[in-house]
Amino acid sequence: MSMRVFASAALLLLLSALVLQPAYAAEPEVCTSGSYIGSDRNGRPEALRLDCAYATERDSITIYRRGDVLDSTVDWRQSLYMQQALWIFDAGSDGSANLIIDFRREGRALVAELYDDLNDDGRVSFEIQQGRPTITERAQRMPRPAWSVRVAAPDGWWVKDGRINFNLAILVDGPVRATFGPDITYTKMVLDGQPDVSVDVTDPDNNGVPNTDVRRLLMDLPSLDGYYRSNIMVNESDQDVPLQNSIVWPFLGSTFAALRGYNPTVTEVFRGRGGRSYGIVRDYHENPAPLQVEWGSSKIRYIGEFVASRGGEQQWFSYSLAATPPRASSTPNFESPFAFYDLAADQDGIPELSVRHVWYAPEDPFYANGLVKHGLRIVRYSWDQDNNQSWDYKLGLISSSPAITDTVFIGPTTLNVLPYDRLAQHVVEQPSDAVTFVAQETPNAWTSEGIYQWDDSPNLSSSYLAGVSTRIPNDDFATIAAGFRGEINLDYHQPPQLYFSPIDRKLHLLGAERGIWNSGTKGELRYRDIDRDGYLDQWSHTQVLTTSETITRSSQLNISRSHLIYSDMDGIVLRQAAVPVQSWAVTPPATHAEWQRLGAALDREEPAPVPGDLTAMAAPFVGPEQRISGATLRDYRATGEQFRFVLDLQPGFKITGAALLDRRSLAPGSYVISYDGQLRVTPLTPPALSATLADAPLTELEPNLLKLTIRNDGLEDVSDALIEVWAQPPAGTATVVTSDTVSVLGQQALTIKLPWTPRRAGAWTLTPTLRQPDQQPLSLQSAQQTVLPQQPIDAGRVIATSTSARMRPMLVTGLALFALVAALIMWQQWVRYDREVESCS
Amino acid sequence: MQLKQQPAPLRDSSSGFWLWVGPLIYMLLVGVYFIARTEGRWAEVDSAVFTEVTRVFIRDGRLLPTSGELYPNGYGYQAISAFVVTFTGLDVASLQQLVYPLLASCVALVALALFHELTGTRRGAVIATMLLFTQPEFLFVILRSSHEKFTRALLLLCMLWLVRSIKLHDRPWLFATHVGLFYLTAYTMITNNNLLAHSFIAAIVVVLVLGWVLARCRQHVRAQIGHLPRRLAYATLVSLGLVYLFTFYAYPPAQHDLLVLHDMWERVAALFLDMETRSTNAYAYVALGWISLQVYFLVSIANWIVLGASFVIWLGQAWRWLWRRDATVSLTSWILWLFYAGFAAQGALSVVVDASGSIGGNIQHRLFPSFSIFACGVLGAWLARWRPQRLAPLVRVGLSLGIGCVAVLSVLKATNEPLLSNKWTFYKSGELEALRWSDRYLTNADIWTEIDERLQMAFLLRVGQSVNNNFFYGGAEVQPPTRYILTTTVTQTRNRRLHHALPVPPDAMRVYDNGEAQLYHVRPQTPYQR
Repeated sequence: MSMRVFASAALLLLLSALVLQPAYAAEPEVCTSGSYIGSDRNGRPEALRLDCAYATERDSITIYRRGDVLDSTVDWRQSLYMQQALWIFDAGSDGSANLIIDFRREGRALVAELYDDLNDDGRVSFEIQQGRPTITERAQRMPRPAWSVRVAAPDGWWVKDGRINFNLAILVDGPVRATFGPDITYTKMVLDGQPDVSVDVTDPDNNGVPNTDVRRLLMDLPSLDGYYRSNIMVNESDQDVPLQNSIVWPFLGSTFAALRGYNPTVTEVFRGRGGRSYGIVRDYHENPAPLQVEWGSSKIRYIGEFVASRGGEQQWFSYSLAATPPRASSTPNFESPFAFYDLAADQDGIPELSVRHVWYAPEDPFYANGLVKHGLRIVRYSWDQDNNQSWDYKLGLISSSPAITDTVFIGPTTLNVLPYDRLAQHVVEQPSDAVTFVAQETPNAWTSEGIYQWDDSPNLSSSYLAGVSTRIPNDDFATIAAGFRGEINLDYHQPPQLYFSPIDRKLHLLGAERGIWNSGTKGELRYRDIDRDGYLDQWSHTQVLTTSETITRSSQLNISRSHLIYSDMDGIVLRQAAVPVQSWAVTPPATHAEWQRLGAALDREEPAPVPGDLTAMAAPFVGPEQRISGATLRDYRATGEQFRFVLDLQPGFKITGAALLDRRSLAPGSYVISYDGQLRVTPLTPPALSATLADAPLTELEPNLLKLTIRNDGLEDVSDALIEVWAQPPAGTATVVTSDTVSVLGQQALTIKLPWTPRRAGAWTLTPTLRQPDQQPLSLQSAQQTVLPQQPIDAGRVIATSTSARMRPMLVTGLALFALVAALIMWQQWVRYDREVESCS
Repeated sequence: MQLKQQPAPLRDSSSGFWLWVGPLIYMLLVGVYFIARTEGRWAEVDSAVFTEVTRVFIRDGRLLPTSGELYPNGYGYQAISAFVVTFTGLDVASLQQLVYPLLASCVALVALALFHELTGTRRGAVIATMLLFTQPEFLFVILRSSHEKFTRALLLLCMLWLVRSIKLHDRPWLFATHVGLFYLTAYTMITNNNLLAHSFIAAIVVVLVLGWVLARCRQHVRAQIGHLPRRLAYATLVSLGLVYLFTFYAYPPAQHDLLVLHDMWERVAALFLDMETRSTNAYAYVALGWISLQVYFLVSIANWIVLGASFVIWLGQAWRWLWRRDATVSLTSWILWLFYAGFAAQGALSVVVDASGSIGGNIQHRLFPSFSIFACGVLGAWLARWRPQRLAPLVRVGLSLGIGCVAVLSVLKATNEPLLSNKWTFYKSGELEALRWSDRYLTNADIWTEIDERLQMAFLLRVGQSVNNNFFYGGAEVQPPTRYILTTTVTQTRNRRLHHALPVPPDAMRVYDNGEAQLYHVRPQTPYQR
């Protein structure tokens, strides 16, 4: 029996010893020596002092063990207690504390509470009483010292077997930058004893690589203000860069400047440098210790990312304006998810594909004041095709979207987001309402978030696509930054497809309506799909040369199914040649194989001509050719096999080459050249416009549609003209009552319907007027229009509308009755004075 | 001879029957007419909003509902309505539309009691009460179904307890009872509407200051009003304490009031300091609400009569009581006179604030009913003592006929009689059916209903919030991205009378028609207008 008790006690002691075994950090590199200092009544040391260089060349850390004694015979490396101990960090060893960490055990968990300067005196106040330090640093209006950051390891260890514990629950109180977002966020964070931010880090398989990092704003915020209420980072691989530059405790580090080893005195080093700290967002191949202290001001500045948001190639993150509470299902909005992929499968830490998926639910109050009635998806799909850390292409996919039904589990939180594994494939397989395609033509340009150009515009997603506006926001995509080539189709409605053009030997968006290549000083190349067959067929290059004088050079290349027409300031080249519309087509790469295939296909192609060299673009396509010098081309348009343009011949023009156009019919002047199986030359006639208003009965105050037919009997087109209808009432002045923008092509008629609500009845005179840029308004034929009056509303109609026939007698009786009652009461109450007196007497 | 100079105390010859039952019957008839005029189908903004907040209140079973509409200025109305609904089994909409208008008659009893205290005679009480119930502004707020039905009655009750407590100060137990009743009633009023309670306390403060100044300047006044300033000072302090407790502890949403006031003062400052700021004149729209300005003045004539006559009387009293040092003025006469001044001062300030455009030009409308209580008191008390020596029968006939006429006119105004008013508050069953159908078959849709909120409020009152996140709204213009437009025969009639065009495009598609209402879908012009 006694043996059994003894064995049990021994076992318990052994287990206790194991459980209470102090957790040690990996061998510190910043601290080179340690010495035991002070001595109690028994001659045992009071503290361990480490000589380090984490901020300057002469820093120290003093460790006081709580509730136990230090053994001076033990090597100092074995006395780095991180539970039940107080660590005092003294940067510069000037005798004042810059940070104090109180390590303690709470139940099974290990907890570290970090105290920094709260009263802006550049130090953390403490007192030593009987050899034991007590923190006295207090914030204004706080009755007692309060931590700024509290780190808890529920598993009860920080480092075990060389592995760091990344199952952490961190709370932040006060203005420590712990979430990504606008700076105003930090003005809302006040040290008041109520945590402002939570950071939950998990490493479910305990392999020393954190898998998720979830941050939430906890403070009260106005419900519709645009704070990123949740930051979620997820590592989809089992690898990460090891923590760097830790200061003994693996999670503790410094801001940028300290790590880079500024050398002068402490105060000079850390104040007013203007240098950027590591901050929250990790860079590629970096993993600084996340709790970043600015030692000069003795403040914890950042809680950097445990899991990289952008600084890697197999991870995703979500920055949501809507909250994502723990232990609940929620749908994050804004960037949810923003994912990065190792498309090259080279595991070099640099992504080749970045997918930014912005999502808003129908009437999401955080977007356009909830005006958008449908779910909205805005995708930025950027990829690096040649794997040289320079983004090459980007698709902007802006579209209405059904609700997201996929779920992703992040610890106890359920998120409705597209899963990382399906995201890339999903977004390129979905039809998109509006699509932009951007190519970065300047090498070696990189951002951590892909190509920003032509993502979206407020007039697009929150107005045109929301059905608010009927105006296509082409102006928002009229220019692009130098070095970029952009293409667009705002009514796309299909999954994005790319094709390689044999003409400019570039990758294009299949179905792009137009595009622009801004090559800086080399000019601007604009291109369009004139015949609307989905392939670009017109390139116009403009270059402004500024030397002693400013010269604008322009040239244009038009490709029809049968001809190739080049024009510049010198003349025109008309070549009979069949040009294929595409070399090959491809879907945007979403997998390694697709990325490889596209790369191989591009590699097989000849290099593209320099931007603006349209003759080089036309050169590969040979055929009979006619050159006309002293001529210019304008108003090119094409439909199917047919095309048409205006040829202006100056005096002294010359025609050489094949007889494609009958040169005998040409003299100086303007001609319409058309092709409908054969080329035809017709002298140009000016626009001859006439208008007819359909006679339909109109009624006062009722919306009507005026049916207006405009006919152009001339050969010259009228493009983008403003048609106005002036209406003159009887004995009144004419005013514009409706208008629209129209193009009336040569020898064609156009019928439009214009809304008009006549404000009064009578015989109106309506006069359509056409306004063209730089031209006098052209008034067309007037028409008389009779507007019929509405039936007047009389009292009987109002009564009939507002009450039923059976109620009317009752209502009249009621009115009379209470008038009578009121009169009776007054009659009864107001009596003559003399009667009162009689009554009194 | 002596009678001419100094009226002897009169024996009150009013019969008890007419005293209590007359005004009660009158208000009951008005209430019945209010309902019958629209056959029970009426809705206006405040009543609809209170219907919805009461529904939410009942559903959540909490003073502070966790979701849905919340009335930030108090919970009293919702709590009383929840009690009635639970007790009777009525639905909230029926309570609001069919029961509460009849409840307005009960205000007559409280008004009679107060005026009896203030005028000192039964006749004065009945005349003042009748005058009050011919005030269209007062009539409207107690007929409709918002917190004002209770807050006005509670204001009258507060005044009753206050006056009685002042008169009974030498009888400790009765005095203590009435003081207690005053604070209980004041707190109930605060729970109904913090903002109106503020204005009542502010009026007491004005009365306190004015009384104190007069007592300082005129010896005889000090003797006549006696302990009134001290009683008012306590009433003010304790009431402010109650407001503080309510606002910061009992019902934190009431702090919304403070924001309103902050904004209001900013705007007043803007009015005086910078005329270019975004201030609006709420009175510029008065004429638009009626078929003509003459009609507006005609239906409002009771307001002007009481306002003008009471002011002349009040001025005359000021002359006699202050300058000629009348030694026979009673304490209750002073109370009436001072409170008249207190609410008149607030009214004058409200005109300035309304002109500044803050709080939606609402203050004057809110304050006039309060002011009218004391204006009717002043006029009623005077009429009760007016003894013309000649033409008395003619005066009697004239007064009786006059009150009968203004009663009809005031009721026409209070009920927004469609014949005269452009602000229609009735709806038809077919219109409601069309709204219900639209909400059943549309989702996330904006639906234009009329030039104002008439049908929007009808839906809110009868049905509540949209189940499919549809948004019914009214306004002069159809706002993008609206794709649906509802028109009805009532809308068409109203638009034609107002000479407004209906915004239905001629190529819009009619997707619903029940004979009385039609729903149109506006033809899309881009692929994104669905």
